[in-house]
Amino acid sequence: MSAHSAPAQVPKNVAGGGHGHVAAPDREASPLAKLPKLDVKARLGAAKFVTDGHDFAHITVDPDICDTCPHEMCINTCPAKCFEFVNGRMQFTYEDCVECGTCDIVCTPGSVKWTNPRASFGVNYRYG
Amino acid sequence: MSRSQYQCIVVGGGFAGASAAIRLAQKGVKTLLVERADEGGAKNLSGGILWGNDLAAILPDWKATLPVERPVSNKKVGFLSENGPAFVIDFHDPALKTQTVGYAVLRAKTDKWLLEQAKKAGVTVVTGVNVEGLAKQNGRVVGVQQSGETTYADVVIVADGANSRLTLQGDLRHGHKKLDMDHYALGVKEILKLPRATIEERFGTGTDGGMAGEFVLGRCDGVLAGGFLYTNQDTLSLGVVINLPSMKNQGELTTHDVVEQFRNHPYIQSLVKGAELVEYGAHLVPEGGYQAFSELCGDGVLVVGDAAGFCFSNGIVIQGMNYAVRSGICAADAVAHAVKVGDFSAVTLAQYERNLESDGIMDDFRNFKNVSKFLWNPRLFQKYPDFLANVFRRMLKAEGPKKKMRAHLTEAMKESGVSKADILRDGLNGGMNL
Ligand SMILES: Cc1cc2nc3c(=O)[nH]c(=O)nc-3n(C[C@H](O)[C@H](O)[C@H](O)COP(=O)(O)OP(=O)(O)OC[C@H]3O[C@@H](n4cnc5c(N)ncnc54)[C@H](O)[C@@H]3O)c2cc1C
Ligand code: SF4
Ligand code: SF4
Repeated sequence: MSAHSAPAQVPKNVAGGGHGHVAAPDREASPLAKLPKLDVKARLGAAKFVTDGHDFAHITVDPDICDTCPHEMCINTCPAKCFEFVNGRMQFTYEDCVECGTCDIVCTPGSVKWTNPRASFGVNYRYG
Repeated sequence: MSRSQYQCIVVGGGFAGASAAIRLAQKGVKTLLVERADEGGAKNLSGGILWGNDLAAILPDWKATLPVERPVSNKKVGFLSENGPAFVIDFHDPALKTQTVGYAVLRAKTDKWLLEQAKKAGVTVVTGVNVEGLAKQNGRVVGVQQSGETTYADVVIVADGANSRLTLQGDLRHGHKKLDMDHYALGVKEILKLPRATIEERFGTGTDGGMAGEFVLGRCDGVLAGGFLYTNQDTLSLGVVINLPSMKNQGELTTHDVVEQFRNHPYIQSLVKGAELVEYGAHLVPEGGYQAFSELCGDGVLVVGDAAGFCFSNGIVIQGMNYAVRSGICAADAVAHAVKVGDFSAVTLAQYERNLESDGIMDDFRNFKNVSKFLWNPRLFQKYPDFLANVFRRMLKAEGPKKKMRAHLTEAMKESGVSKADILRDGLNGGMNL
């Protein structure tokens, strides 16, 4: 396990899903590993969102496909930490999404289904 | 087919769409611009430095009224070693405060202004409407769809940005149903608030200048990322542009960690300390260049700006807003031509491609074809920041007999695992491509 463990991350059920960790580079050597980590969710609080009710998720994932995913790159790349394995199941939260489109691009197994949020909803930059 | 109320519909009110719409209105073409954000710019994010004077073709007085942050009068280019050292070239030119070459901008302000200019020019601007798809009849684009309804027009200009859903939905990406990871980088950005006086003192910009800094982030883990730091009026734009494929097999490292690590580098810390985070966001950057363009025209449709791939990025310097303006204008001129001859087939609209050629955009992208390959060269990120740090450490250490620069270089090369052949090759490649 690298020194990069995110705080308070629920460990994945490696045995169940087959999504064991791909060998990561050894970061122990890098001083980067020793930096304190800011909670990205706290950072997202600084952006202004208009959250759509719980009736429309503009992105959906199919957890069954995630179970077979060889790389889980959505977790590495989503800048808003919307993807997380909780008790071995992919859990996706769209409310913090900044609509960048990255998860759609990196999800080669095809679990992610991506659309723009409905007009007037989602991220609202005041600077940009 | 119901009669079109508009001759042209432009989807997207960024630099590309707004420029196209303004040019169209100026040429007397009845134009509707549809933007999904409630207010222009609210969905947009760039670094960002607006380089050049391309807006002058449609808005000659833009410099007097566009809400800009600061003109770039100080340019820094640096290598940041993950072990702490920084090697930074720091170019100051007070003349650039008046003979401007680029301005730091914030898109929530600029894009709102652009849509106001479009309205003034006579464009019908509708915000807060998300276009869901291109409407087609017999393979020809006839308008746009939204909530099951079609709005018709003779021609549609797609300007929906890097994450272009419409080129995917409308089958304008050479058969691809997804954007290709190899052709996009991810930009993650923070806005940090700092009093105006502190910025001016810390960066030495004066009240009328600004700093634009771009940095190669030295990392041993193989993540390829560049960092940027720009001064705005009373905020700083800080961010990273990350090569997506290099995030593969990175364990639990995330893109938000990478921006965090950049901000925490001692050199960057010294520049941003005390600043308060007021916004965090992210956006894709097209960087596939010439090989990654979408289809540029079809029957009844043209694609401009980031949606088409007209963005030049090498991880350190990004130029997209200027190409967005220029490609938007080229497309508008092609549409005006099509209106004149009364034909909106792909053959007539291909005038767009000829306009891109004569404007020089195509040549720019042809010439830069290999730049991203050079700049995402792992050696640049894994070895050179440390190598430069080693060279300078050695030169500064005053112990023992003074060595020649050459001896320092040789030893530093050994220590950082860089060979003479590497330096020669990368230097040549860089020189030829830049
Ligand atoms: C981190 C980062 C740093 C950058 N730095 C620089 C820089 O320093 N200098 C530079 O020149 N460029 C920079 N760029 C690139 C630049 O931002 C883009 O090239 C430029 O914004 C492209 O303009 P565009 O109009 O094509 O697309 P965008 O600006 O993305 O505009 C697209 C518009 O379409 C709207 N839209 C999208 N879908 C729909 C829909 N379905 N219906 C209705 N509306 C829709 C969006 O809301 C948006 O307003 C940077 C980019 C990033 C991400
Ligand atoms: S990349 Fe796609 S398939 Fe893999 S874990 Fe993420 S969402 Fe699931
Ligand atoms: S679009 Fe971007 S922010 Fe939203 S879930 Fe996907 S990767 Fe995360």
